[in-house]
Amino acid sequence: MTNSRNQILHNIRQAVKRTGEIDESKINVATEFAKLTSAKQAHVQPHLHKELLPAFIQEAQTSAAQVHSLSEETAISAWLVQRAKQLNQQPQLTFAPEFSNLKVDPPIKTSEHILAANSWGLCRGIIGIAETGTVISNSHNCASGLLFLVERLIVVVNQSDIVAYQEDAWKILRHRFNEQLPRSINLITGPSRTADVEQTLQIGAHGPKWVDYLIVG
Amino acid sequence: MRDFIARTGDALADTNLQTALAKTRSGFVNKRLDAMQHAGNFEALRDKAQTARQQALKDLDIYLLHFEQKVIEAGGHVHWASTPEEMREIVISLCAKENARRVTKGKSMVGEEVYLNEALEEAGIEPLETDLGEYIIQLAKEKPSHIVVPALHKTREQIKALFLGQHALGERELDEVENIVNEARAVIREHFLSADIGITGANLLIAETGTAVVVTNEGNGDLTATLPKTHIITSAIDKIIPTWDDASAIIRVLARSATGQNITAYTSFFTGPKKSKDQDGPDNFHIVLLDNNRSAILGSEYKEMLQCIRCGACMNHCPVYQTVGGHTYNSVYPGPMGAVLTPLLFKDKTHYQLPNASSFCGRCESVCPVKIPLPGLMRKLRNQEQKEGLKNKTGIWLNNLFCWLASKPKLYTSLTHIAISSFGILSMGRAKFSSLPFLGGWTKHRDFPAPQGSSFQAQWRKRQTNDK
Repeated sequence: MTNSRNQILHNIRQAVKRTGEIDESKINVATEFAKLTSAKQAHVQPHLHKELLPAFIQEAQTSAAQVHSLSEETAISAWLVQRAKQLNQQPQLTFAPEFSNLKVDPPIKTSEHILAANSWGLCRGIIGIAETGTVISNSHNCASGLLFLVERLIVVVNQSDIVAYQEDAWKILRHRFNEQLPRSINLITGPSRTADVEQTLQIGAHGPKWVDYLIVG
Repeated sequence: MRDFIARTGDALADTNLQTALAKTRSGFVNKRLDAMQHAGNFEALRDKAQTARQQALKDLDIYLLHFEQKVIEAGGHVHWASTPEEMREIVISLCAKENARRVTKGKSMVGEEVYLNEALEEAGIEPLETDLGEYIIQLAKEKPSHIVVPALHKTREQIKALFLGQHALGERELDEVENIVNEARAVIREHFLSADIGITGANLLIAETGTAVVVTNEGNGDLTATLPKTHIITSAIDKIIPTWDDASAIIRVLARSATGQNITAYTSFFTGPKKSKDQDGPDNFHIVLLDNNRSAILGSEYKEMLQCIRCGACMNHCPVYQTVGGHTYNSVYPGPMGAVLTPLLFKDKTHYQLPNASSFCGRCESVCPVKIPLPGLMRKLRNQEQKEGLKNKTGIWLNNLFCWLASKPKLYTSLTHIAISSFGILSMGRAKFSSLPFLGGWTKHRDFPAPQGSSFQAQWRKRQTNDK
């Protein structure tokens, strides 16, 4: 395996016409990497057709996310109950840890069993990206199991956390995690889907069948 | 194995395949057009994506070393495989170390390239495909026919029959796509929860942080990567991209080109195994990097092929692929990108037929999100086939004859004049021939047009004279 590593790297160096072999014990890979990537490059980004929030909402809806707004986070419990009644459901709700103190009334029941029928999951989107109507979760905030195993995922996003483009989101992530990245950073854009049968779009493949974005503020 | 020409005959006679292809012919093409228009500056996005891929390949050694360093810092392991055999051995030894018996798999074209499922089965390990398309073809014991939609060649009726035959779930209604998808969701969910190891591919490997990017719509990639205690990624050295910003350049053109979405439902970034602050995730994280001649391609006149991001746009737009389907190529990589990549990766002389499976209409190059000059690369491979004597003897003889003739303009003009005149007399005023000696292969399926008037050069000369 070490031989393969050396052979592959040797072949690549010949292919990219490096002058001479690189002695890995003598070069600082991080320095070399920084040299190659330090030059500022202009971003090329798709057009946003509206202002930030309307663009985020429009793109999210295009991807079949259902978008709702809420004045403040204290209203989340009441909104959940109202949503369950509106859908005529008795959901089993699982929370990301930061919402563990949330009290909910019937018809909602709290549950740690993500696989229950009619399971709902509540998590935070630490960033929203307007260019695609995407929300970002991560494994520090929320278990991936919750994100992908529930039938309905509800993502709380603060309006002030919505940015225009992916590069804006990456800046926030770099600052927030200071290069100690969580195991998983999840960009979620609407419910799961597949077009594997005759290219017919079917919402609800392995992940959630429904996704609600709850924009707060 | 029957050759490509014979396989095209089989494909044209396969009514199920032709039904499936007819149903899918315009779907992704129209959606891509809508997505392009919505972006507003898709050409600029293509240029940016091409630049990002070119930069990654230009200093690939440094980026690979940085990627490896960052993966190790994050608690993961990087393994290097020169050949498919070596990749299979590494993955199986990792499975053996965990005493794994059941392995869930996300879609990985590299996994397909090295025949990983077959190797796992031989080692007594059960591979369970989780992408719906991959699951369907696993049930059918077939290989993918498309790099994004592996079961594109299957009709709904065929999938229904497969499920009824292989899922012991009693009588039920499976006529609707929704019912098929719901049944797969229920069956495969059991697999997610019982697997010892999850194996996925990666769409990108970000050197900046040692992060693997997995792009899916179904969510199966995330469940495969997260629920088992070990996550193995089978990928290749050319998937490296320098930074997260470069990853954005690729993500922006990938889904738009593949399925006409602005972005897929899930784009997940995995860095190392679960750490103390993580709510869940695997305890072990391994990335196996395959070369399989890619480093040789990098130093060759075909290096642009390594820019490929596996979106499938070239095959969605290819008149040859859309007529004969993916299996006719007899490669995990079909369509125009496969016609170039297959002979370069596998070095099998039978694969040199594939670059000839093109009308050179140029649609593949015009839709490629990273602007790979696919017709140009196919032309080079045809030249190589000729130079190395890999064509059949008749083909070589005819090519040499044409080269000789084309280098003698006077003789060429005289002979074409004679041929056109003869055909003109033979046609007796008809616009086409329904049969011709030595051209039975052509006239069996379509008429041969009769020359109308004189040659182009003669007409041109006459026109110039008249203009004066």
